Amino acid sequence: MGTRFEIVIAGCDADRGDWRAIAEDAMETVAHWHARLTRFERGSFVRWLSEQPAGLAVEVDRDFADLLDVCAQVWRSSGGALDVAGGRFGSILMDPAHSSVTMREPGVVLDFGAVAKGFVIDLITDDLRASGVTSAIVHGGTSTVRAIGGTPSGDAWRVQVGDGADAPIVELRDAALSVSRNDDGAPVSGHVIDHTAGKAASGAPLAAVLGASAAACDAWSTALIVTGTRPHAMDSQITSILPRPAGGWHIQGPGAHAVRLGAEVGAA
Amino acid sequence: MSGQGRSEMGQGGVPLDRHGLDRRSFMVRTAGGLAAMSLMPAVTMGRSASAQPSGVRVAVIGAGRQGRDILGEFARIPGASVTAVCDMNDRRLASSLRRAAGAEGHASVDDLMNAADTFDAVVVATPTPTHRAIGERAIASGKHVYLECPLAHTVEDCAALASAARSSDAVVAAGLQGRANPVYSLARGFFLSDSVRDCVSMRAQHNRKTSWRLPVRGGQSDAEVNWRLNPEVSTGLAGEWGTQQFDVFHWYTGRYPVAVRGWGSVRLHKDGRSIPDTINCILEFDDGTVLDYAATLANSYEDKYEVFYGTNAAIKLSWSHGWMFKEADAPTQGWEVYANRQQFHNDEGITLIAGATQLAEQGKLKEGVGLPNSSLWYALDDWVGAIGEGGSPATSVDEAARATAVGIAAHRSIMDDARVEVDLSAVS
Repeated sequence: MGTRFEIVIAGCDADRGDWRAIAEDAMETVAHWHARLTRFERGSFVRWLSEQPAGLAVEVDRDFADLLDVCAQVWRSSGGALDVAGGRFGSILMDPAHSSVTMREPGVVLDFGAVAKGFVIDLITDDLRASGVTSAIVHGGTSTVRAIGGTPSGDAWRVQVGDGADAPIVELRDAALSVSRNDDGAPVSGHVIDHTAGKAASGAPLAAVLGASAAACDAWSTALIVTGTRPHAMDSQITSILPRPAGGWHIQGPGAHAVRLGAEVGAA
Repeated sequence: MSGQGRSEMGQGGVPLDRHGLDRRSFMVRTAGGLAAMSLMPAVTMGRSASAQPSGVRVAVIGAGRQGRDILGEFARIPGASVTAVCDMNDRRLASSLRRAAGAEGHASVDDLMNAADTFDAVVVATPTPTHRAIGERAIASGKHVYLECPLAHTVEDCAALASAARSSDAVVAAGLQGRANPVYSLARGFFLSDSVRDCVSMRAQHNRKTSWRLPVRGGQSDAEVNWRLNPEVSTGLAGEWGTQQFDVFHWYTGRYPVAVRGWGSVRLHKDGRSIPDTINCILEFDDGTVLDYAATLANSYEDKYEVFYGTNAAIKLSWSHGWMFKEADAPTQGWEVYANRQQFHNDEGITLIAGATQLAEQGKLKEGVGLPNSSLWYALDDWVGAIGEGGSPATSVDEAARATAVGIAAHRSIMDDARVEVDLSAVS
């Protein structure tokens, strides 16, 4: 995934072997999925899947099927703004009953760069919870983060979105947050591609998404860079944070109460 | 059909590999290749179309980290599918079944064997101390078997598994991954030719910063989960990691060490363990050469690799890549003009590329740098191919028993702080 993952498990003795083992186990999961999902290495599962003949139903594991399902939901709800198949997601046939995937046309190349970090963070935070961790925060590349519980003092984990005095600060407690930027606000040369228009995305210079699933937040934050506004079909349980062109922020969704602006928090 | 790849001997007592490649035939093939403007001798990358089995149904016993990796590799191995997974830990079993679409879960080996009509072949990926009991049972069932390495935690258990494998009519393979690795096969061809000439010294390392401790979950005890740190059954770094690498030297040189002196201590993970997290070993061979081996859980610099130092060149292998570093006075071979090279500080390495001739013909030589699959994939694919062909796998259980016995001897030397003579009589 080409980035650094960090795990902070709070309220434990760092030298105790079992906590270190739990964190190492999580990092093994990151490495395992990186090897599967990278499109840059010839032996990855994603490269292999992309090279399978069109029309062939390929069995996939349930975790991978879940990942594709998140991508499909956001692809549909965003009108194709998120497309992990380079504008050809519609040519992927998913069969949940048989846990299989069929490429209906040749040459479909998969790129999970917009959702992989969130997907893996969901997996490892679920594992951490199952291991008894009650207070932790995990991030991938500082752009996607998921919190388990609150801080040891009982407060929510506070994460600032972007910079500047008015930057939103999100309070996380058993929730995920993902932020996408379009090449530091230069939309013409941005790295996010709008596959519906076949050019660099220019909808928004920055988008943040707050919700339960890091994978969904990761996927939606990229989609909002393309759309620039919150689509009507967006999951109502997800909170979106978008800059207004004239200044200020447009915050919509059930988690809006957990978002403070920098100046507001500072005054408190 | 024999399930064991008993080594035939080539010219000068050098064992042949499964493709029958010895020093003389390599030189003939190289010369022939030069006449045809080949870059390097051909090495098979995976199986030929004729070796595709019609559908081997595989049961995987053990769903820990290695089991997870094995399940991931089987998703991309043609002609095989995982139809059963067995693990006594409910959580691991449930997690592994998410990774193996359509497979049935079994909470015990008994339960799995009661459903023996649902699989043709078994992978044993359980903790090392359990390999003998489970492996013998799997072999006795008549199924094809892949045994993870190290083979066992005692020489007695290694010998028992080797004996059981020899008596089987099925394909019984051991997971010494170097022998199925295309880059290692290619480099071995160079090693057996005049490209390296006389081997004067050998070195290897495996560095990885990790505690080697696993979380204890699902009602299991710490001793069961963290068996690598249990002095009663652990073979330490020398056994668990060294065995894989020691075998590369056995395979290339056709020799086994006669003695080993090891040292070790806990340098970082001072959590009460007695199994060293940092070791050094000197393995002595009967021709006077030595293998200098180091491993640590306290630092990850340069990961793992093996180096052969010869009078004409050195060969360095790092599992996905291989390089040859030539001496200034070594003769230049024709194909070197076209070879891909990489700079390492003051040295320039010729990249060893499996399938180089075909890639060069397509103008894609650089795309061949680094293997497209893991060593584990090649080892499993080789086993599935041997089942399909009715042939021998790349690594026999006999070879694995000897390599493991060397690893066990090295660990004993470290724990006893004494030089240990390597006795392979029980596994020869």
